[in-house]
Amino acid sequence: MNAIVRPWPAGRVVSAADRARDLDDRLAESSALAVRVAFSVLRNRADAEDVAQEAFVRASRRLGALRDRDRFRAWLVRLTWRMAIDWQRSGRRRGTREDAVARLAPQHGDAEVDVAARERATRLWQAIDALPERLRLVLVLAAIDGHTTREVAALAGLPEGTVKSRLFEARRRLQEQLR
Amino acid sequence: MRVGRMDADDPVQTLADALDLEPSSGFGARVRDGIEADRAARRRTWRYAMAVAVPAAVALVVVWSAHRPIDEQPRAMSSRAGAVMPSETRVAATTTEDASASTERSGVAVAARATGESPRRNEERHGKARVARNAWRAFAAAPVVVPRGQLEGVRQLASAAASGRVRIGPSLADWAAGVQPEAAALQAPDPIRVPALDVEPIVN
Repeated sequence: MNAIVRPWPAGRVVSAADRARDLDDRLAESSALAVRVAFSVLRNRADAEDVAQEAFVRASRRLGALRDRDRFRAWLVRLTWRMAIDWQRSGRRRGTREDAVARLAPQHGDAEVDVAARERATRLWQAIDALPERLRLVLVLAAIDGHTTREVAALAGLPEGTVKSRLFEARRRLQEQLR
Repeated sequence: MRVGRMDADDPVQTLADALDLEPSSGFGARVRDGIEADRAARRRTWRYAMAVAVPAAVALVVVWSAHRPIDEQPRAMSSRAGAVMPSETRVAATTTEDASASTERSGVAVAARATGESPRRNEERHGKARVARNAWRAFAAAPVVVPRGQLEGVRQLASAAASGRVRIGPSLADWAAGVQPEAAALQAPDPIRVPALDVEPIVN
């Protein structure tokens, strides 16, 4: 996935420029991931970006300790997921969840087709919402960037076998509900 | 984003389409601003801690140390089991002031052993001035075990009493006058027991 970067050598003085460059690298490779994870929970781009930003701020406090980029991404994903759920529960969500439906059912001009597409999109999100959290995170991570089960396992901090079984279960439940 | 993949057979792919979004153009700048603001806030917190919280904590510790109960203050007791004569007593005979202060301090420890009541409890019941008197009485009345190495100190105490710097009771005076420290050190079990240490400082 990403190259492993060694921790800052002990006793090395890390310049502000080094830190800024390091942060830029992390932002470039992980910001989309964080926003997508947050969006999968909040279904609103503005809220998702707010949560992802806050997650980055918190993660930046541990940049020195999480020099291994894979570990950083995994940590960021779990932090973002948790923060998005907290954000949702706290009632701070400012937008409706229409963003997500609109993304799945863009307007084509044919009213009948558009209505049907929106209905299906709504059903899909409802089905995803109905999934238990443990299945939902795995499903979302598998959907983002076409992650393999090994990558999902690394990001979610789970054994690969567990990811496979959860993904299978999530797919099965979704198909049942969408049938 | 692919459109029209709303079939129920591939929900993961459909979800992937829905989540195929990029952060807005200003996202990176906002994150950097947020991180900078966070660092500034933490620096302010650190400065506040250094300027206010740490000195306050140190002051608190100092005040607490000064006022903590007397039984929690350090005592220089002999390390030998059963030896309750504090090492300060050896010094006590040198000057009247030393004898007064150190024997009184030591007396509190002896009082605790003699009465089975902690000095703190005693202090709670009687107040600080009273506890000092009680401690002194308990110290004077309690049998004192003198380790072999401190026999010379006891002899010096008797000598100090003879010179008028401290006053000792008759039992101790008799004992001190009759004892041959060298012989006692050779023959007596260690430690040996002195009947009572009746010492009273003479305050000029």
